[in-house]
Amino acid sequence: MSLLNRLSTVIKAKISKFIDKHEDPRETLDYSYQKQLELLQNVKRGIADVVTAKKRLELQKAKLEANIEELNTQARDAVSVGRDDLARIALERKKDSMAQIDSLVAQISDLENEQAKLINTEKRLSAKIEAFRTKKETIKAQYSAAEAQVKITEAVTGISEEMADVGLSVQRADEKTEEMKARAQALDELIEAGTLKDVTSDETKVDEELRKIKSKDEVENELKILKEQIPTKKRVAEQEGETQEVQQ
Amino acid sequence: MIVRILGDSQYELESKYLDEINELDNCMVDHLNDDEVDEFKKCLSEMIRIVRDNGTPLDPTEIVASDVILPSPDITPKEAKKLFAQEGTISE
Repeated sequence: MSLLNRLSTVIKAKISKFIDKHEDPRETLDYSYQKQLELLQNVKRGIADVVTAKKRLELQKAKLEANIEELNTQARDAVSVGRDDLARIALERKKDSMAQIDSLVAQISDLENEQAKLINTEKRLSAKIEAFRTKKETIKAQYSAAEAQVKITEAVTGISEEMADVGLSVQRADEKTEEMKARAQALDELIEAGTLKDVTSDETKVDEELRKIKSKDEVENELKILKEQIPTKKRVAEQEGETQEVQQ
Repeated sequence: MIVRILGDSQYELESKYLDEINELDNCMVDHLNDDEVDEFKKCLSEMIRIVRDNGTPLDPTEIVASDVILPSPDITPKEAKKLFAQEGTISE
């Protein structure tokens, strides 16, 4: 069977199920209108979901970018104290983070496309619903139930096809959003588990060692200052000797 | 005839393009069966191009059923296969 036939069959099955639901065709009109409004809400919710997912990915991207800054600093600090091993770890992590950023950029643009498509869908559906509402009132005012049958079937068939189309778009967007959420979740877990460790907050090896080196330097410096300020007994004795020599 | 591209819009298209569309439809199915993704996509985008280039988009306030329904331009082979497998690709 051809793909197009298959597609038509699936959509027509949905439509006829919809039309056969009510005995009075005019009820079908109201029911359809109700469903259209619900669908429009679904589209709006879909847009909001896409935006939320996109924001989350953008936040992760910003976090990773901040990590890269930090890792650069740490690599430089490590090199300045002659610890190439630590610098290497920092640079490796930086590379991991950069690869993740690249994939996030692609996912964000994917969601942007999805958002644009849904906004178009919303516009188109809104216009159709408004047109349907007018048509619905006209049919109800001008025809008896029996006379209206053909007109109603026509209108409902047309709008139902649109609804099947929009429903499909919303479903695809939902699937994409869910997929992105799962990936974002996985990335959060990775960052947490340390595969892409945020070196500064997690007190990892590089950070800790650099901190130790730094604090060792600070201790030495402070000791030097203290030594200068507080004379030792030995130095006091020496100084006193010098004074006596001068007095003699 | 009226042609709908799912996720896009409806177009008014001269019937003379129907043969070409049917050929590309067969082309898609063949490549789908052989798992040739690139070829599948090629047939699909050619089909979409024919409608977009030669058709006139319908005013969105017109409520009319289509004669031909084309898949979304970004349908994946996986989604297309699902359609054949009769899984719920179309929601209510």
